[in-house]
Amino acid sequence: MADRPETALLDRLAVALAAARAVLERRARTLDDLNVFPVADGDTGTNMLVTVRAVERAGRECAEAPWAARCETLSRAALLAAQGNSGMILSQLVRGAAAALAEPGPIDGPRAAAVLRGASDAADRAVRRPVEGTMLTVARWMADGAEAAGPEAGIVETLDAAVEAGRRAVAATTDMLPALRAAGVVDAGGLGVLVLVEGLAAALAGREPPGAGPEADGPPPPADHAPSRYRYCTSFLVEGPLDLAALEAAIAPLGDSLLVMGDERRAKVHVHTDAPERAVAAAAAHGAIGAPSVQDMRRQEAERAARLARPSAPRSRCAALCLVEGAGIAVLARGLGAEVLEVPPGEAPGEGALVAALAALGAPEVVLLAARPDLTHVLEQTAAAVPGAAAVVPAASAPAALAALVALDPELGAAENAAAMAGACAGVRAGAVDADGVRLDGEPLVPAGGLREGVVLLLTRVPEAELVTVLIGAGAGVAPEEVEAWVREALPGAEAEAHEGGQSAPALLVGIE
Amino acid sequence: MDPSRRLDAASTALLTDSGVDLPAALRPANWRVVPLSIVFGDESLRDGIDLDAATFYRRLAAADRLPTTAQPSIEDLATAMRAALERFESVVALHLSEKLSGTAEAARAAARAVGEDRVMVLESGAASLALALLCLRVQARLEAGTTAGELAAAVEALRAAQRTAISPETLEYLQRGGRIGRAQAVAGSLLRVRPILVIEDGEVAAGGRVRGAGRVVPALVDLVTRSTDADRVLRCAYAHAENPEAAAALEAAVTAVRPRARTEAVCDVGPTVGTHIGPGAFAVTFVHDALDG
Repeated sequence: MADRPETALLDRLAVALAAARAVLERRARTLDDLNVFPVADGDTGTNMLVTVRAVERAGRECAEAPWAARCETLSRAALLAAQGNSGMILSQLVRGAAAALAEPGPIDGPRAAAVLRGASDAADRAVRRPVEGTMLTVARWMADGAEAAGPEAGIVETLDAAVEAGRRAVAATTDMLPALRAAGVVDAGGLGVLVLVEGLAAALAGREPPGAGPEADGPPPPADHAPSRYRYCTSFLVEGPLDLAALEAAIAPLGDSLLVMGDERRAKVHVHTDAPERAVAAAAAHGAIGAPSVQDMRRQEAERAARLARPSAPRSRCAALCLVEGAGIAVLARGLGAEVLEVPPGEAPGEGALVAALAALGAPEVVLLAARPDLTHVLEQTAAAVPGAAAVVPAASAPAALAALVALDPELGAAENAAAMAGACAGVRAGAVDADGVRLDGEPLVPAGGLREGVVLLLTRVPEAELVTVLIGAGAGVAPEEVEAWVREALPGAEAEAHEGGQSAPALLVGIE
Repeated sequence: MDPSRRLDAASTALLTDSGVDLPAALRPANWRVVPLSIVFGDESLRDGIDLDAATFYRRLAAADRLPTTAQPSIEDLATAMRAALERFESVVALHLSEKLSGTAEAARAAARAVGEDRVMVLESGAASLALALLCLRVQARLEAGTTAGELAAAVEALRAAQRTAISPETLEYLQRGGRIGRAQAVAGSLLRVRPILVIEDGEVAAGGRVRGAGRVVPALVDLVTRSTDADRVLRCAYAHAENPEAAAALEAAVTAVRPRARTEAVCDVGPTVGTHIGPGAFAVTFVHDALDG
């Protein structure tokens, strides 16, 4: 047996690792947000990524070294980089996997199973108080699945079997841990392990890595969660000759979530504590300290909660608050990315409701607009009282407000948005159709014999219209398809779109662009 | 590859993949195109060999599960590199954006196996028409004669300067393929909104949204005028997925506001990219090339 397996295979493994890292990168934020156990500090994906990147880099840098030494380097790189619970456990999975890879013999399906088993065993051994429903469970089920593929299976077939088992394991984690069940989520670290092996399998098979579509991740978990008892997630390296049990005993009184991983020469310590410096001092009596890392979990928890409080909107520079009357119009406005405050017919919003809605926006700049023109003056007073940049877009009608929201770009500032949105509004003429007649842009009522006649009469006055949007009032008693057919009849060249608006009056609000 | 190595069109093969979407008739003689595969269920078809664009869109329309794409293996790429090196002294490889596909990463591994002294893999940050335009600008440099170092620097500059604006009919395909990225911001509305996408740094991002078919071309043209100079030559390529009228209208509108625009290619979006962007999409990619002064 040669010391180094064939170069092509190594290249494929390196490419596969890069591909798996890329998949993890795309999913890291999702994992961060899923993270509720042991502490909802929202950094599982990030921590795992740090470890994987370190392994990938080490793999590149030692490409010329003998095979067994290369495996040892990967193992060490993972331990050195490890931060957080998930990073620590991942480093142990890497360590077990690398040891199994370093063994002589062909790199084939059974070896893939042995690598997964080695990974699982190493992590199980390293965690002194293992808990089911975590990365450990998922890694163990994956090793079981890989072994069940049998001795004849190839690498890809074996990994695919492991991935199948891993999916079942991840789904099962929810019911294994009370914290996960309460939040209705799967274990973030477990999902991370699955994502990595899935990425590896896809890359080795030459398949494009699995996507990271939002549908793959299910609904976001609740934002609130019991905080950690301690404030700082602390990790550091101790090099010695070491007595691991004594090292652990020295740090244990200072906090919880304690992990001491490594061997007599070198160990990584991870602990949640209020006194990081005392943990470091306690360890310094046992060996030389290196690579300290301290994360403030209170801040991380707050950041995670803030992210999840507005799951539908990406972190943005500018948000929009739109006052509307009518449940259907509210849905349309929300669909365009606005926060919505519904106002009852004929009333103005209460000051308290307005303040609360503004506080919930979570963006440094805001644009305010109303889908009922009589409310614009209320917004002008509000904007003056908002501490950050705020701008009001004067929309003359609900269709105009919706047209304005189409132009909203959350990455631009309030002033730029307001200008673009005002421009979009200005191009919209508004019609109101009731059973007795129609009005265009607030002109006097022109009598008409019914809703259909009213729509036709209105549209004959704007023959150049390209897009007609109709919002159907609560009591109008017509279906959107019916109204769209009327519009097409009157203006065959225009695009027609009708939705339930739910406004109290008029029966039909017509936006003409 | 030694940065001072001389490269020209007679001695250098340009290796790309079927993500390039340049019609075969427009491909210079020194180009080699490695196919990605399109996987419908259990059936794997090589883009451009077992599957043409028209057949693909027919099958896409009928498929109840969307196809996936599979990158060429390192072996496929190494074989293509070796074959090219039998006729040419050097190979320059420009593949689909690493943000979208693992092909470039695999090409780098293949180059290590074949010999990095003669093969240079450059990151394109591009797909489809944008990859086509980038390859054509590389070809212009090969035809004029250049060095490996100059070419690598030129590709980096072009990659940074080149812009792409796309009108997809729907975001459904991007969403299902997991490649929607920051374009998520323009997705999801009950109102029929037409998203405009841009490619930034090899990744799909939101470029805005409009309502009404008549506003799409003006919105794309606005993205062109905002970042270009009327007095300079503008190299452009267009592409469409089964929507030639829209691409022609866009070309006419761009040429109207940028009289020095030169259409380098009009591409059919092939299966590799079509799987992710969906039928009906059309796009423009454009760059002021330093070579034009």
